[in-house]
Amino acid sequence: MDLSTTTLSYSLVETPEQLRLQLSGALTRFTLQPLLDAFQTALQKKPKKISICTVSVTIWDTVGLIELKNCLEQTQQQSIPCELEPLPEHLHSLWSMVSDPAMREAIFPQKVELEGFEKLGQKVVTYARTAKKSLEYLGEIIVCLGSSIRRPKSLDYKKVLFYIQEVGPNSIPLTFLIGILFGLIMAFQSAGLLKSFGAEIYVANLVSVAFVKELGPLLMAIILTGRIASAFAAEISAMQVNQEIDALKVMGLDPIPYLVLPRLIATALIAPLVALFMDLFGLLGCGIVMLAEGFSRQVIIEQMFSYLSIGDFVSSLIKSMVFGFLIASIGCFHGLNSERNAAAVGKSTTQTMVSCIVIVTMTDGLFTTLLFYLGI
Amino acid sequence: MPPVIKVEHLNIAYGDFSVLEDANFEVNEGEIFTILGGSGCGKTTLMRQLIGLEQPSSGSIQINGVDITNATEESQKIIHQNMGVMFQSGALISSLTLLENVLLPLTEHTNLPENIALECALLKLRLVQLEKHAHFYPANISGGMIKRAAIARAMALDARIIFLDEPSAGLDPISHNELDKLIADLAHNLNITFVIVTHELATITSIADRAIMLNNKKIVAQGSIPYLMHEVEVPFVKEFFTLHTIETQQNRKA
Repeated sequence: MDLSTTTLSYSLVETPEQLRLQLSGALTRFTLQPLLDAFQTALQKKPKKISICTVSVTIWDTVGLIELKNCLEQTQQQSIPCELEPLPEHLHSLWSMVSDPAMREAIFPQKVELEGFEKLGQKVVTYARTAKKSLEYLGEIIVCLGSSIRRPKSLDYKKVLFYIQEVGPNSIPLTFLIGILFGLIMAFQSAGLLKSFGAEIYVANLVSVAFVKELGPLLMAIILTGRIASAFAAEISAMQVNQEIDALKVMGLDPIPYLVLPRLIATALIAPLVALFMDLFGLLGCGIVMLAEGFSRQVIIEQMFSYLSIGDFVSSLIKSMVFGFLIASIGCFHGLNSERNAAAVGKSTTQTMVSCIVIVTMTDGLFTTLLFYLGI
Repeated sequence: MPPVIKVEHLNIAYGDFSVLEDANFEVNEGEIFTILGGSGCGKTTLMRQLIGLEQPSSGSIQINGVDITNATEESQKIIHQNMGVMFQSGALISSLTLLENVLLPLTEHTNLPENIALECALLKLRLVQLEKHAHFYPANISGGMIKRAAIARAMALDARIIFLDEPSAGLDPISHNELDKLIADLAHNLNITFVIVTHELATITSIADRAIMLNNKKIVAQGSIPYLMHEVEVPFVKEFFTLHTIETQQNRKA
């Protein structure tokens, strides 16, 4: 039956003692207005007492019952006695629930609103707890890595190879696109400025130094954050939601060596290679612009490597390895520490992206400062 | 009174793989109707067709006289507002509390004032004895509670037909019995039609009015429960009830 087509009608029978309100038809969420009108009209007559008859109401729903109860209460609040004639037998238990005053006193958890210092203190405690958790996690990773070095057979090499494929070769198309475009953009932008000084040839030096020392590892980190860290976080977080992590624990398998280490080792190993490809594609982009400007291949290559030393390449590769380690461990950390609901997967992915970008940039700043003072 | 659900010559197939052939049955208003059969015989698939989530290969499914197999989007929406579904896993939205889960259809499909909608949602939770857990998240309650909350959500809009997929699967006997009692009370007090996919004999014998039995892509028997249990001569039906009865007796002895 389609309740939306139901109707409610009413009639008022006035006697000196009382006003009888007779309802007929359907008392559903679609007929609330006629019910309110009926009570309104009855109250305007200022009766001594109102008696409500629902014998002719054939269709009921819970909203109709709730609204009938509310109308009765409102009438009584106006000091007009109101009497409801017995409802059909099958509605007795439902009516007793609806008219129970405890219904409205549904226990809403008391939310304590914190202010000022309390709020600040709570935030500090939250951050301190996260920092503690992160340190514990880092400690566990180091212990597990040490144990894997001591007993190399304990590491799942098949998994490591699988993630190497996922992080490395599968990232190359995106690395090619971003690298070559960044190289082109940088070369065009700097060529415009350097041309006015007649120093166009130095575009190659500028782009190569920027890419090898800074942009290569940083762009690689951004690509791996989007492609890999978020995937790790979502995958492990979904496992947390499905109690798979608990299942591993009760089977005596520690999630760190089983889930985190293969991902972490693979990413840390292959990240420098991805960064190297990023450098290569960036220089290729720059080379295309330089060739178009009329410089010979030999001159371009000579200029590109004239200001670069082996130390620059080594520091860049070490930096990339650290970025790879951070990206994988942050992704796994947020996955392992996610809540157990569907929203948690999205939340852990977002947290991973934000954390990765912030921590990688901070580490990059640290590296640059350190290398500057070391003179590398 | 015309039947609330009328299925005629229904065929369900996935590509060349046929699941159900030439199914015909009717469900009357206010009755507790069960779809029985062994595991993997297509009970849940049939239910998914009845609730309009999947399209059959051929045949018609009429809900309150409207053929949902070729209904417009608008009329399908109206049909869906008049039916409630409890999925096997409960399918509560995990980021919402139980109260918010029950409130969701009320706020999306009605223009009820907030206090009435809230009172209505609480009443539904009270009907399934979960009012004290209104602010709990699905992750923090037991499997039986999730099923009861899913029934509360299915009743949110005062649906006249409620479909339940394996409501008592995985529940302990006490929770199972309570759930059966709840279904029977709701059917009796609110005249709700229940279509239950199950193979629990306790549910079938204690609360069901009529049933269909699926086996080998066909409806092999249909009728009242005493008729299916004692009069039908189809070997599968006889075996189904005999084995279940023996199992129940053994459980009692144990």
